[in-house]
Amino acid sequence: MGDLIVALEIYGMGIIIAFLVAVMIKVLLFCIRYFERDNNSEKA
Amino acid sequence: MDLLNVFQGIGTLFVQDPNIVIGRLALTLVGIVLVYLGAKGTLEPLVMIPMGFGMVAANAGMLFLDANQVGNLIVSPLVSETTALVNILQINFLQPIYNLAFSNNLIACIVFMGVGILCDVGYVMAYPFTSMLIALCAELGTILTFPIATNLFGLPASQAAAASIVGTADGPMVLFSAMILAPEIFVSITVMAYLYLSLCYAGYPYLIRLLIPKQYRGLKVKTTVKHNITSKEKMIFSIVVCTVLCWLLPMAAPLLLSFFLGVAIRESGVTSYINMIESTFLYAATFFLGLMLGVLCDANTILNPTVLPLLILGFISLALSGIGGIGGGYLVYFINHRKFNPTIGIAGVSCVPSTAKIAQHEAAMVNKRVLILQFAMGACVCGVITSAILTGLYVAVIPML
Repeated sequence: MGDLIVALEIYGMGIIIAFLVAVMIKVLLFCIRYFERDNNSEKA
Repeated sequence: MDLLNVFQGIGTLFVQDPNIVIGRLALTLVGIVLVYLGAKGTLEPLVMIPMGFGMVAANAGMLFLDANQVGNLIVSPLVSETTALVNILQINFLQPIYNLAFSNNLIACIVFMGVGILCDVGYVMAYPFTSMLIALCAELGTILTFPIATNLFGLPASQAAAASIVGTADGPMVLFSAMILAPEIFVSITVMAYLYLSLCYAGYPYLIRLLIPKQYRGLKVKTTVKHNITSKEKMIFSIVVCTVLCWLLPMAAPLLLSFFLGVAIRESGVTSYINMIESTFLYAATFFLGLMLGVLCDANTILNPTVLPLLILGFISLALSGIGGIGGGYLVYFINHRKFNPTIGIAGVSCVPSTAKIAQHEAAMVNKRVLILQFAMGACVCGVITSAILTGLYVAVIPML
């Protein structure tokens, strides 16, 4: 039972980190596109 | 003249333990079969041809090293005492490769760098949540095998964790974790893992056909992405994610560095580096990996009592991961209001790019117009990332128990 809990704890941490990466991707894409749009409008 | 002493490959068969002799003969035969299946294309030829030859030579080419010891002049994986190691480095022709490139994971990291070069992270960035969800479901084997190994097979936590990592379906990851967590079963677990990974290619299509009815396999996927992901965005992604994951999981830093460096080099467009890694490093590392796995398959190393549980656990782990991946495919199918092909789920098992190709092949067999490869590659690349995360967690957590 203890080992199952350890495995589930590892899985839980894995899920959190994986979704953190997914959120990071979304935030990164938003920031890159936001600043690029800003730069483009300044140039125009 | 004693002919058995002249032809020692045969002569040693008469003095060894009968179980070892049967093992040697069987492994020689298996080596020949692997070469045949590799050359035929049934199994991965890049690994199987050198591996088969290695198995044949290591088991057939035994000789009397001294009065009481039988071995070969290829590699001795169990030597660890410094003086003996320095001596053996000057005798066995693959010993330098084993000690300086295989057992320290250099080969695994180079293979991982090559995987990074092959991976287009654009699909992950376009569908991060979908890809991550599938990849996490496809880690079912990595998680459930651990309690099965400790409770049903009585393995210690470190060996159970090393066996669980087989469920990531990622060869370099298995090498890496086995070397850190359970060096005593490193040889048997890596050989078994690579054998199974080759068999995945043959087995997973049947699992898909068993679990996904025909009408679902041919489904088209509705795309919603408005922007293409640029190389600049992929470069920024690779360096940011590498930094964050190295902060969180320093134990997996060599693998993370190798993978994301490969991704960054691909996106940088530096063709000399891309060619060097893709054409030279990756093939050289794969060749020596196959050869090394083959020569490590000698009967003395393989025929120990730990191998049978590992064989069963490896099978359980990969089967559970495949089932979990398909379950993930169904989950996304329902979340996306039935506008998703559940076959993509198998690609969450991160055997890049084999599982993505299997998903596309199985879908195309039902509906020739369906193109799911880009989604499958997204799940596949995410599988590599989740595998690295879980391996890093196992390597960090298990020694604390």
